[in-house]
Amino acid sequence: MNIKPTRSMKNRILVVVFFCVILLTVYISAKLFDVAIIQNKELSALAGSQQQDSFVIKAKRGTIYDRNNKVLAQSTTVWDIIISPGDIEEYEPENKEFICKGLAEILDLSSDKLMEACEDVTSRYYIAKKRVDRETVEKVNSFVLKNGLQSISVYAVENSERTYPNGSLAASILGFINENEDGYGLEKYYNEYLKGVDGRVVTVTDAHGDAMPYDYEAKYPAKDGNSLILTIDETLQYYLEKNLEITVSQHKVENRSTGIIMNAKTGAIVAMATYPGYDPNDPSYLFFEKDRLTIAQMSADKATEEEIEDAKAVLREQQWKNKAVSELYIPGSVFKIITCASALEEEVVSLDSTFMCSGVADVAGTKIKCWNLGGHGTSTLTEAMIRSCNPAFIAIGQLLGEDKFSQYFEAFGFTEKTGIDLPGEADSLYVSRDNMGIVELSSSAFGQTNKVTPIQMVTAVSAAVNGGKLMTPYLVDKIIDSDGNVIKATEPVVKRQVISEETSALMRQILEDVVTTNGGSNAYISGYRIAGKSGTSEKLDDYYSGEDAEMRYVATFCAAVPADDPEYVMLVVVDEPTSGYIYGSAIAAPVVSAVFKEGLEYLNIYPQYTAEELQQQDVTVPYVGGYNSIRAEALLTAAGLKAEIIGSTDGTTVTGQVPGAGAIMPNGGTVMLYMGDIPISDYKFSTVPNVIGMTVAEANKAMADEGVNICVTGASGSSDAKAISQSITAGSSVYRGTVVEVNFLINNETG
Amino acid sequence: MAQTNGGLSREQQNELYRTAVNKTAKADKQSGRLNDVIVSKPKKRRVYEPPVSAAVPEKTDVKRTARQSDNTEKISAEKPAAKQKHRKTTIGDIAAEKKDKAIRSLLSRPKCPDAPAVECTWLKKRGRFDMPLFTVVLILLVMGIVMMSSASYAYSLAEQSDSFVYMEQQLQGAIIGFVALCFASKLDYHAYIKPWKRKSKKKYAAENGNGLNAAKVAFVFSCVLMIAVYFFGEAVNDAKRWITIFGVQFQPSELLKIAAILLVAYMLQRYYEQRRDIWYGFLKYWLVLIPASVFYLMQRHVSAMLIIFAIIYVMMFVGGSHRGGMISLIVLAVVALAMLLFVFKWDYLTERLQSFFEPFSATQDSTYQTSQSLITIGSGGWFGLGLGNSRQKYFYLPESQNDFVFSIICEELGFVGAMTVILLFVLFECRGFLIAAKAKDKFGSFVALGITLQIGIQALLNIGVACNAIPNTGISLPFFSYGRTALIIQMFEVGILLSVSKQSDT
Repeated sequence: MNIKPTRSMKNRILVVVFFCVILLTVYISAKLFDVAIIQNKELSALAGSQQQDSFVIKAKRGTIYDRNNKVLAQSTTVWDIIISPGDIEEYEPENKEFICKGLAEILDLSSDKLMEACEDVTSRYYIAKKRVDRETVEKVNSFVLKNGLQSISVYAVENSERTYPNGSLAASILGFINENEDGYGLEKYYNEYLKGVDGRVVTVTDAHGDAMPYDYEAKYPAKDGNSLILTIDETLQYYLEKNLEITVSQHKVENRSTGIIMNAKTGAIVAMATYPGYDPNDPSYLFFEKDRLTIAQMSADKATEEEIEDAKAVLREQQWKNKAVSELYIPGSVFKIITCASALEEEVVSLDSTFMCSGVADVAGTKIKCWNLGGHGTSTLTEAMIRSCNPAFIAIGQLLGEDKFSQYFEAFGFTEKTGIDLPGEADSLYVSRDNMGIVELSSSAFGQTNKVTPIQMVTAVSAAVNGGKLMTPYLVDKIIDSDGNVIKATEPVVKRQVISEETSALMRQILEDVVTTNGGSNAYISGYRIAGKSGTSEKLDDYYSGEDAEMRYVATFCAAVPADDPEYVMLVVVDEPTSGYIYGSAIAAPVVSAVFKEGLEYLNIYPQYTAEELQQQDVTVPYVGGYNSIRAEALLTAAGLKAEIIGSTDGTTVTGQVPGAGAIMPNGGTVMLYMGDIPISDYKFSTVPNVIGMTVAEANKAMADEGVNICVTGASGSSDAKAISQSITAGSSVYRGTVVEVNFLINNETG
Repeated sequence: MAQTNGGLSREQQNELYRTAVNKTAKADKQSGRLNDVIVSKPKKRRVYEPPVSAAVPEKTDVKRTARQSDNTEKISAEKPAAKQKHRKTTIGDIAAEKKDKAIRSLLSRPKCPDAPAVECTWLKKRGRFDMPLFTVVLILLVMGIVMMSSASYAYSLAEQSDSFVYMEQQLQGAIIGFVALCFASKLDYHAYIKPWKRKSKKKYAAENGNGLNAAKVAFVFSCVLMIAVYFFGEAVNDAKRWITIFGVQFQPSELLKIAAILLVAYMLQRYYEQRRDIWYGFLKYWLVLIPASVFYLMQRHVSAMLIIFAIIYVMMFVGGSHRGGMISLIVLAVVALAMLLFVFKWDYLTERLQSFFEPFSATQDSTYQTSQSLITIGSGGWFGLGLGNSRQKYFYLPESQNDFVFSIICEELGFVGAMTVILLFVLFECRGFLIAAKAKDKFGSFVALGITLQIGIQALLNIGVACNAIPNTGISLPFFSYGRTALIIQMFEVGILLSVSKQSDT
């Protein structure tokens, strides 16, 4: 027997067995290649996803400041309190009730509701309460710590909340933004600047969730958003919104109102409001009472849930729109400024030109009425503007011709977007040169055909009065980063020179005359030089349907101040007043004058009275109590007042005066002085007369007859002005000498 | 020559063989001495060959007939089984004879053949061992310790609050293992089957190899230890596999593997002539296989059982064991597997298979292991994350220092590093198989084959499991996985391999 390995053994080892082993090796190597190289990407990703623990550091959204660095919008840190029912179930089911009760107490929630939430043990993220402050978070944390609870059962998650400290103020400018970065206003337009870049911390953890000992942690710090410094002045914005609100309620405005105050020289928007707007802190709440009533009515009418939701959605969309840039209106007579400026620039008319008005103009067979059906007779250019005479401007338009009109229409920027830094600027609707015939030209000339945005209108008017430069309006003055470095500063952009400086000077003069003639229009403010023009347009496209359809109007007023070198241009558009008043002069002009009156003083532009104005100045009643009659009378005379002394003057002193010290009353008013020991019961009484509908002179007389002092507000100088309200109701019995404030208004298209 | 020889009766052959062996045994002492003195003189060596040359004709005969046709080989192969009845086979008698043979083989077993005398010189001072194999093993050992240290870093830190506890223990193992390697390579591998001389007068028993020898004793001893583990063992990870003897923790299942290999190699050599016999060529090995598998199953060590089965099966295949038995074993295994899978729906098996086909599907333990292993391998790419930079070892990958150390190699050293390891193992297998083929005798050949297979198959299966090329079974990677006993025994096995290589013919 051979003990050596046989040949067949060797063969089997070296061929069969070895071959099998090599085969197995090749198979395994191929598989290894597949896993290590071919599937490398997916498996690495899987590895990363299980090893990496990354959390986002939210970038802080930039703040929006007004031009005086007052905060209009800012992001604040808030916390959400999270309960993890799954972890409670896993680690401390015995504490469940205790946790719910404790949290309910801290968070002011019902513990039953929390208990119910904790029953769902599949959940590991139940938001017990959103947006709690730091104090509450600390309470929750100490609750968890003191009672030795698991930190994964209950914890706080940092969150950021956008707040608008002034509520609805400037909402249409600021806008808001939702989680999908959809939104309105500056928040949307400057989102890329505001939002910043979220940071991330990537840590690599072991399977137990602890950090690995290597330096795998990668930090990408958050870059906080940039802040905006606006050209908006919070105070002026407030004045504008306050007065728009008054007008909207007073004139039962159906379709919102808007106002813009623009720096005439730079195009910077100082205030821009839409009223009613909304509160960006809660944008879906219907802000306009009328809208809420509509919904309530629908509910009452048993509309389906869906219908109500749809209606709400439409109304919300509506209230979020910035009327000043996203909606069109027919400019009406305010547009006459443009027609006039173009005609003067082209020298087809001059200040000496005269125009004839018979109350109706016949343009190629179409009869176009003037607002004054009686006709204005013959007017000069300035008079035509003051009287807002349509036939005159039809004539001016025709003198200009279709070519030139269209050319200037374009030059004043009505065919393009203004380029204001707000989203959703609307395109104007206008009759192009190709479609323009004599009728279209004629109606366009007084602003009753083309539809433009308020921002286009105010920019164009500003070009007409500022020396002829069409500016690009803007809202953001500077963009600063989180360290305060200026990233971007807006320089005023002159789009083009539309008219010459000389023509512009003429326009300023004409428009100042519009406000001051006849003792001043509704926009007149004593002590200030204001240039302006009213407009009342018929909403032909929307309502002109059928004989009995009620015509709706847009009342507008555009003014510039100071008239000789305009600093600010303001446009107020009141859409669909339903109080019976329709004229821009009657509805929009008072808003302009009220805002300017408060605003100019705030802007340190003080009134400079003419001698005539000084005489009509209201005076403050001095305190004369305790003086003898002669001394008291002298004091009152010095203040421009008269005295009526009741009772013995002998050795007595003044014991009572009506009106009292500090009251505002017109120059030359009479103060009742009661001497000695006359009891109050013996003071003289007067009955307040009804002066509504009277002119200033008539009202003065009626008041004087009754021994009541009158304080005239509104269009005091104009003979057309009629009293529309008085501060003390007619028939009331008041102390003689009491001041009754009477508000006068010119209710026609002049001015 | 061949014909006359072929015509010899079995008894005559046996007789011839025995005298030859006796002569060899007598010459043994001389040759041993002489070998020591004049091993380098080939002419002198030839002097000792004549006794063996008596068997040469048979060898050439077998060789030739094998070349001539399968048929003749079959006939010659059948001869040992029918050795008592030596008559010429005629075509007409074939059927009857077959039947007769079958009955005979069942009723009367051939007498247990005497074992060839074992030539053992105890310590081989001369002779060069296989240097490439030694180098490969050293590289694997160093890489293994480094990678195991890296892979065990996190577990060690977490469990022992010292990141090098595993490494220190593995180093201990490596040092003891190296000593074991040196010893085993010096020791003549025949020492394991050299019959123990007993004081009794049954000299014959010792001479014909029926007495005790180290391989038998080691097998019985490790079986006893396995039983002891079952009762007194220490459980780690739910499996009772360790026993502490004299303060040293020890894993007898590793010892059982090498003991079984040695014993089977011994049997294969001893019963080589009777290899076609159903008893000597097949059933007798079940005396080793059955206790081994029972003990492995007792330890819930299914994969070790399968590996032992595979190694012994391949050794038997190489030894040309009883064909019918070998084939029926395969059929039986397939049927059993199918039964377990489809009839009994054994959870263990279906679970493993599911994790094999859909490694990312469920969250069973084995699926989790496989999916994590794939993630680990996949995140390495071509060149890996760098030594020590594994992230998966931070408790994502279970058993990262043990069964899944290869995945960590892939993650840290990339595909390139992993292929290096695979190639080293392939080299190891090449050398191992060459040593087996060139061994001085059949025993050496089978031992070398068994050891190479044990280390090679274990490595391949471990890597296959790591990259989900085969279903998940708990197999450790030789030289790499944590485990002192396993490492020491693997080194010892390599020592045996080297010892075999020392005496190989070249």
